[in-house]
This record gives sequence, C-alpha cells and structure tokens, in this order.
Amino acid sequence: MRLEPRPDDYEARRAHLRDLSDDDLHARFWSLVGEVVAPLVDEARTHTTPAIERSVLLRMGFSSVETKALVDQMAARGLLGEGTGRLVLELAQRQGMTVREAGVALLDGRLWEALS
Amino acid sequence: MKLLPDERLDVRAVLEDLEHYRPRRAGWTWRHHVDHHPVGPFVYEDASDDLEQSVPLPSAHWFGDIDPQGDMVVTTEIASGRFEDDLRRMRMAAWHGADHIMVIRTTGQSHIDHLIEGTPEGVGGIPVTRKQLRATRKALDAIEDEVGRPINFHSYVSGLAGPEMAVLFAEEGVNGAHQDPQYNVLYRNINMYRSFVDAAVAKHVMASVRMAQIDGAHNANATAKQAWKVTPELLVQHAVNTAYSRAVGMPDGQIGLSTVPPTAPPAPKLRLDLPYAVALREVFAGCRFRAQQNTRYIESDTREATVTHVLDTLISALTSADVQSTITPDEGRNVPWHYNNVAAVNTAKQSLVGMDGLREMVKIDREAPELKAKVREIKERAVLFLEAMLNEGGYFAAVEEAYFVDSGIYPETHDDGIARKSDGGVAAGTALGKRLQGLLRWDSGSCAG
Repeated sequence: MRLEPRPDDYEARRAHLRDLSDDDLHARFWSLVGEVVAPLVDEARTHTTPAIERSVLLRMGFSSVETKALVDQMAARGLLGEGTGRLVLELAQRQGMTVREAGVALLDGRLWEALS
Repeated sequence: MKLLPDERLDVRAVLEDLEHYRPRRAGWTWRHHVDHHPVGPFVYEDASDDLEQSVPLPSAHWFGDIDPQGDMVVTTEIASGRFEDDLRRMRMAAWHGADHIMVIRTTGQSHIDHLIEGTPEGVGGIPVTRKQLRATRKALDAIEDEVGRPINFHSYVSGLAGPEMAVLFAEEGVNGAHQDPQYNVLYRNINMYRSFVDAAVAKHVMASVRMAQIDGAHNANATAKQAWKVTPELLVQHAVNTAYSRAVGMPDGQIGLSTVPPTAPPAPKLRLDLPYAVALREVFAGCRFRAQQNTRYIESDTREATVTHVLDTLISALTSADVQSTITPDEGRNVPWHYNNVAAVNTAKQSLVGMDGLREMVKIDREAPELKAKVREIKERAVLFLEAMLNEGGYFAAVEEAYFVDSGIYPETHDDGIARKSDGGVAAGTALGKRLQGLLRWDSGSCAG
C-alpha cells in the first residue's frame, strides 16, 4: 500500500494549526517527533546486530578479521543476543587467561563448550 | 614528519612506522572567532585567526597578499578514489583555506558487512580502512602544522559496518562523520531495523569522543525530482536524526544538520530557498548547521555552478552556518579534478570574506509578508507530515508507504517516493533480541528544548 496521488489540500488540512503561535507550532513539531522516535529507541535498547557485536570485540583489541570470524561463529551457535564481548570476557575470567587468549582459543575451535 | 612548502608530500614518509602512529587529539575543532580583526589595511567582523602559511586569493597581491579567514569552518570533499592522490589534494585545499576534509568512500562500501583492510583503490572515493585512516590522520597532522590551523578529518559512519566504523574512527582520530540511519534505509536499501539499531551504538561511540555528526538530509535534495518540494520532509528527516541522536546521548553541539539551498537559477532561488533556511534555523535553534552547496541542479558549466554556489553562500551569510561546505564546480561532469577542490574552497573564501559584516548592515525582514507566510507554511506542512506518519503507524510504516522523497510538496503526493519494506532490504533479519540490557542510559529529548 503506497500513498495515492493527491492534490495539494494543505489549506484544508491546516485548519487545526492555523491559530497556533510559532512557539506552540514548534512544540507540537517536537512532541510529534518524540512520538515517532520513541519506538525506534526502544528497538535499539533491546536489540543487537552483528556489526554491534564486532564493534565491541574490535574495542577489546581484536582485529577486524578476527571480529568477523568470531561473530560469525557466535551467530552460527545462536549466541549473538548474549553479547559476544561479555562471553569472551567471562570465558577469560573463568579460565584465568587474558581476553585475547580466550578469543584466540575460540577462533581455534577450542573452549566453545565452556562458554555458557 | 615535517612538510616543507617547496617539497612534495612524500607518501613513503607517511607510511613509514605507520603501525605506531597515534592521533594527537580527539573531537571536532571549530574556528576561533576574532572580533574586529585587523588584517592588512582592513578590519574584519566575521574573521578567525590567520593562518601561518597559506595561498591567498589571486587578487590579494593588490592588498599586501593578505589572506583573511572567515569564521565558518570550510569543507572540501576529497573523492579521487586513490588514497595517495587524496593526501596531496588535502594539502592543496588546506593551503587555500579548508579545515574540514571530507573523504568520500568508494561506491559499494555501505553494503560490505564488515571492515576491510589495506589501501586499495576505489570508485568515486577510497575504501575506508584503518591503514587509510591512520595514514591520512598522520598526513593531516603534518599539514595542520604547516598551515597553522587544526584540520577536521571526516568520513562516513554508515552502511552495514556503522558501529565498528565508529569505533575505528574514534581510535584513529577522525573528527567528524555522517551518521543517519535514514540514509541506509532510503538510499542504500539496508534493512530499517538493522540501520536504526546499528545507529544507536554508532552515535553513542561518536558522542564519547566529541565527534561531530552530520545527518543525511541533503540526499533528499539531491535525489528529489523537484528539490524545492521536499522542504517539509527535510525538517522531518533532520528531526528524526536529531531526536534519535539526543536519545542515545549526543549533545546538541555535536548534532549537525546537513542543509542545502534546494534550487538553482533559473528558479527564483532566494525566494524559494531563503524561507526554508529561516524555517530550519528557527525550528532547530541550538543545533549546528552544515551548509552544503547545491548539487541537484549542477550541469557541466563550471561558471554556472560557481554562481549558484555563491548564491548558496549568500544564504549562509544572511542566516547562519557553522560549516560552509563546498562542492567542486566540475562534480556535475566527472570525478572532480584536483584544481577544482581549490576552486570551490576559493569560491567559499572569496564569498565569505567579501560578505564580511553583512548582517551588521543587512537583515532579513522577518515580517515581510511573503517570507513570513512561506516560513510558516513549511513548518505547518512538516507538522502535517509527522501527524500522517503517526497515523500510518510510525516511521517504518511511513517508509513502507513511500512518504519520503515524493515529488509532491506534502500533503500533495505524486506516489513516486522511495518505498522500502521493513522486513526486507539488505541484511534483513540481523537485528536480534539481546538478553543483556541496561548498559547504556538513554534519555529522549528534542534539539530545541
């Protein structure tokens, strides 16, 4: 369903706005914008993506090549929603190794069973 | 690395020991306004600090070779497609007065779902990589030492790798970036959910290092069949990105609106473009304005393009702009030549210095009947647009129903806008529910609040 072609009926549609002061019009504009944006912010708050997970691992010191491989493997195991950076960090803490050593172990196919 | 004015930039020196080079600062740098600034025989009112070394305008030799600098940051867009050519062009532009170097990315990088490495050539721009960013920052650090002014390095936090690109930019000392999820959705057909979820994190990272953000609304001007008819929608696009940016913690001073005077002669340019410029600055008071020059109606005549761009700069001088961006006058016919980056920077510098102090003598008559009515009409049409979006079910529903870049001036529609499916597009289905929450505290708000 797309917008149907429609002639310019601005004059008819503006009736409820005509008597607003400029300040009130601006306030209405920003109030409506808030309503448009609120669900988008909620979506971001509760979701993640492969790029977000790679960005966390990148900041933890892994190379772009390593972040892609790690996130691809995490995604294949259904683990992205757990937070890949958190999983690597907690694995390192449990195993008594550095974050880098934990990530490299996963990239080598080791310690996946110890993730959960 | 030290540059000498009579020696070429040595790309081998830029690459030497590059693995150990680190940026010396983070964040954006504005020009420092100087009141009543004496330069040669004149006193300037809209001036910033002088450069230590520069190339003045050609006629400057009649005025003691002075090279006064306006107080708006001046952008040049670098798009050679070859990384080493980009560096040489940046140096030329900086000597002529640019302090905002916008490096255009190669065609197609938006659709690569990871970072890439090395310094390969590109088409219409270079592939942005860590090595390219670090080498460019190193060269720009040397160039800013040479000219005596901080230079803002800028590229694009868009496409499928936005969050990691933001981290990369933060780590490598990039000072500004385009970031607007609407660009992904409308012009790159990247899935809406993916684009907005990615954008929240990317913006948060940008905010953490005071990186200036520029939105993507100018693309609607460049895409619309009749660019003067998308002005109500432009207010909506600016507002969506502004409110979203604030919601994830970006302060107003970092939120830049990318605004373009929509038309070019033979259209009655000022009568169409000035009311829009005024409406925008009133609704978004408190935000930063990046004034772009018109690209939509640029043909192959560089003289015609230059006149349009001077009129664009006049609108900046009459209203306000924090950044005056420039477009090479030959962009309409080819990949810009080196010289035309300089020509465009000179056009802005010549125009702004020539209009120094304009607003002390000439003011917009805000009560003039036509201007007053047109400003109000643009704002009301934008409110009607927002009301309709909400009635449809929100942003995603409005995009599905082709609200954006329609050639009618809303509420007029021609049923020719860009339509995208919320469950379609590139990387559909890759925004996943997360079980770990609450790491970031976000507050919603508006720019004008």
